[in-house]
Amino acid sequence: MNRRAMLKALALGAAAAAAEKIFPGVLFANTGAATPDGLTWKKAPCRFCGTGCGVLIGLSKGRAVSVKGDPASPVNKGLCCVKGYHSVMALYGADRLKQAYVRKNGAMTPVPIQEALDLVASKLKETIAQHGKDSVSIYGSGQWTIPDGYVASKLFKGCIGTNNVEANARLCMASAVTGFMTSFGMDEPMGCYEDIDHADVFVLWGNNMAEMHPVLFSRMLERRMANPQIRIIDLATRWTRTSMAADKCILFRPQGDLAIANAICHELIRRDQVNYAFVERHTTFRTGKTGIGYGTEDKFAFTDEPKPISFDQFAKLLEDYAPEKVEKLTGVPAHEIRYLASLFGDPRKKIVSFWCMGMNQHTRGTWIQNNVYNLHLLTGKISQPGNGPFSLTGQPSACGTVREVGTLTNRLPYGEVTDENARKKAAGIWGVPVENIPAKPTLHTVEMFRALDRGDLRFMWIQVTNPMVTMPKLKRYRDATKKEGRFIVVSDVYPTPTTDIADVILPSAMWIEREGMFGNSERRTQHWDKMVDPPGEAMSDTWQLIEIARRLGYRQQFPWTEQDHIREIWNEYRKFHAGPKHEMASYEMLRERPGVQWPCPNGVETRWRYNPKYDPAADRERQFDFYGKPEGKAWIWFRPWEAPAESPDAEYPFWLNTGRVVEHWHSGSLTRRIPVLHRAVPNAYAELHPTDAKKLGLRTGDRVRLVSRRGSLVLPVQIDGRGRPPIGMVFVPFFDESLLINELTLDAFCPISKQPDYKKCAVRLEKA
Amino acid sequence: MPVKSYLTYPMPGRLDEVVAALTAIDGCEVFPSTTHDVLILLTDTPTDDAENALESALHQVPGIQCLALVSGAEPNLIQIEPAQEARA
Amino acid sequence: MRTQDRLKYIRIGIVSALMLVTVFVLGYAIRGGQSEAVVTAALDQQRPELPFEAGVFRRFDRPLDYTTAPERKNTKRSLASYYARRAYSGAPPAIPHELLDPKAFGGASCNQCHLDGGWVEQFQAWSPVTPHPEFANCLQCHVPSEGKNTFRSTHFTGAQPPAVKQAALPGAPPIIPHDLHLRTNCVACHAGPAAVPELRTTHPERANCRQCHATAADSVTAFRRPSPGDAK
Repeated sequence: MNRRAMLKALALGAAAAAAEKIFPGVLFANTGAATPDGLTWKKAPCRFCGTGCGVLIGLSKGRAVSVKGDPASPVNKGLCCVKGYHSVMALYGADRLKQAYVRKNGAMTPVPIQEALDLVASKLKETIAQHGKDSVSIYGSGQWTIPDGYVASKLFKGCIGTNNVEANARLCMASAVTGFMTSFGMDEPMGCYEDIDHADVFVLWGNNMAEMHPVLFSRMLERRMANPQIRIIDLATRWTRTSMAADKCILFRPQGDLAIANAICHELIRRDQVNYAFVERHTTFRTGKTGIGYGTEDKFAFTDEPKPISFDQFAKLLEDYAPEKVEKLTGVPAHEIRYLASLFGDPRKKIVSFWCMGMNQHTRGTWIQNNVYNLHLLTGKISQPGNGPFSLTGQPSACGTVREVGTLTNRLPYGEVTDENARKKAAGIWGVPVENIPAKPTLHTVEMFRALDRGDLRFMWIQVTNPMVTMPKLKRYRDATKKEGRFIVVSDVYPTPTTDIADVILPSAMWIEREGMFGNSERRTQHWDKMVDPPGEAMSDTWQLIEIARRLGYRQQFPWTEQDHIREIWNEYRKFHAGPKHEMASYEMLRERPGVQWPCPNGVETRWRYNPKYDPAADRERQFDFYGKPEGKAWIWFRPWEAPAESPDAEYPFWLNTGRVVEHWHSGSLTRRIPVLHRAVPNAYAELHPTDAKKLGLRTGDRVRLVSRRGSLVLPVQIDGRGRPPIGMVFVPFFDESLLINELTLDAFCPISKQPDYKKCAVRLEKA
Repeated sequence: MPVKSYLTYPMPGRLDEVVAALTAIDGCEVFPSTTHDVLILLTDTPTDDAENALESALHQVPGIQCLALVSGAEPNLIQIEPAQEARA
Repeated sequence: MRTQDRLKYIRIGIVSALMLVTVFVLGYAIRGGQSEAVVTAALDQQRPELPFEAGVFRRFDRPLDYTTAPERKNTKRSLASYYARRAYSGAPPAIPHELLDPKAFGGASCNQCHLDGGWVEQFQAWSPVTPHPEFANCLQCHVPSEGKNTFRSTHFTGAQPPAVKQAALPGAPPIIPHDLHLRTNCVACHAGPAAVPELRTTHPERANCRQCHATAADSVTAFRRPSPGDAK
């Protein structure tokens, strides 16, 4: 660099610094040249949680070397969390998968990727020929990009003709989906993150938001600092970091949430704080079946039977839920429930309910979603700024891919497989005969692995997920994969317990190593360009699927070039969602902006749905129009309290609760390879209440054996570290592949959503 | 002769017009902001006459509300240490 | 019967009657007090003080307005002077000034300046803020210092302080290089006019510090596991 060039760089830097003082967060167009710090910055959504922070990736010499929060993103406004700030390090672990492997004579042998793809395609053909279309399956992920999920669905549902398409979001968000569908007829939240800027009260229903959606929690803290009358209420089964920051914490017994919500409804009715005008005009009442089971048996089936009831009948059914009557059940004193009711009932208070895994991973997950929606529907506190229920998403694209593209056994990109019009639409856009698309859902995730065990399923392709760490009742399903005659293909970026059982391993390109889109909790679709090259022969999941599709003879449906395929796929996918209720942004708009919320008819984002003031799809003649349901009326369901599948008893007297810590993502395959994060929390542990620990003679660092009906595990004890469970509960984070807590959990699920309950089963403790 | 940088504020709604006009002028490099209505203008001229001509041209660009000089340096008058020179 | 005897018997009778009445009344009272045992149905709602989690959120309910605290020159605090007061990295600092009340154990006597900080005219300095105000027996660990003399010389070299701004990537949030014990309230030391300038945070208004800044365990083996194709 000569003198002149150096001066130019300095002058540019000085001007940029001056601009930063005047306009904090200002960004200048990337002219392709590096900014004065020598880095080129490009936007992307974060790789990790469902908050969907906008980040800027710092690139230098073909490598990602730094991360900043994107100040232009309305989600996080330039802030990230510790995972986000170190996210790019996940690309560079020493044992990154760079080539394909095939199991030959029991040993994994490296092969050229084209050879591996040939084998996968031939195995697929062979299995279909021998055992039928429904003997093959694909198990994907809420970390699939939107194009990944789209081509998977098109290939398996449209071309091969099987509904054996599932994703790990079944284990994380399915109850949220069925909650939306049963109450509102349409999926995904009606509000947006901007609700945080308007609410007076935040009620957190069993989610450790300070660690799990930390950037959103920080937005709440910021709002409270400026407005000290704001209240954050932590309703939880254990004390966490969130409890330390909340204004009020109310501990409840596992499963007690069902009764708490009903008790609050009871109080609202008793104190005449129901918004009768809203209820009359915009809601209708239903009951469903009760005693609906837990799905622990193979081939468990359930169909609900909604029956209309009146408001008075609803009120009568709630009489069993007077706060005093449910004290024992919930563990919550009546006056605390009345306090919560006073918050919901006060018409001047804007209230937002947030929740995540506590309400989703629940054997009555659908019911508890209905019950919390009831609180907002009875009071009319919904679909307005600062007022409304908000189901937070866990994964970066459980919404964008699994729910919106519909990579579940019962879904299509538009509508359900059972709907003939939806199948016709898909066939038209996909260019396949409508008869290809099967009309009946087949296997949800737990059933898929059970079918693998029984031999009804013979081929499974697993992408971007680690079921050999995350499946409940893990031993049965791990043994299933190892059985004779089961062919398992795993696409991943690092060796994991799932690649350990694979017959073929395909190396995947990760995140910014290929172009893609994610969709976050608040219906915001975010695009990123390819920024760095994947290592070795690693190939994007999208392209792997396209390669297989072509080998199966479907080139016509997958004709795109490597250059254009993401754009072409997006343009094709967009067609499914055309219309004011779900319009998706154009490809060009997504590239330009740090994310665009859907629906965005005419390029204008809809921030609050069902409210004609903000939603052009809502009927202007009405105050609210829940257009997912007939007559635009949301459904208020009466849902009772029912016991969990397995509760503590004399033999197994403790609750086992599992979850996460902020430093680690899911099964740790990415975050444990980031030294900063690994050093912060190097291994899993068993969190105990000090009184329980004392009884067992245990101190922090001692070892304890947890035993359930399904397995046992020895873990180091932690007391009063990151959290404190109540007496009679032990909490274990699941990120550690050497301490597989899911060997102890139970594969009971919500019969409506089929989502397993990872928060409640019974264990006993022994000093080890 | 000198290398100069300016913060340029276009009149409301005229950012693109100003960017186009400035890019057309010899010796100008334009860096528009993607988030605010402001842009950085970097100028570099080989002779004093060219510099004067450039300044006149800048004053005649329609749509500029304010042109604020941030830094300027004459490369030939700058003393650079030998070590710096070698590095640069 | 003689009058003496009668009186004696009457006295015995009255005393016995009184005793009987007492027994009866007491018995009644005890039985009355023994109402049905109250089954504690509710969970213990007493929020614990998680020692490593609670501290970070303190002091935000009455936040210092860092932007308006006047800048005073020559505040005399620097990282060097900070460590000069400590025998080794992590040691409790010695008290560099005379005690207000030599007989006090600490508590309010120290906290009147060190709880919330502030400009101290007498010392022409900003008072450092304690990260652990809940420990009231200050003089148990913090002792005054009189001069620099030693009785005999020493060869002791203390644990070296960690480097500041240790971050994994350029621009990444620095890790927390020190133990959290007694130091969970970040803003006490890292924000405010008394903060050591080298340690000052650029964003004291953000409350959830450990959202971005990770702790670091002392000695941790790197995460390793077998790769496909590794010899079994």
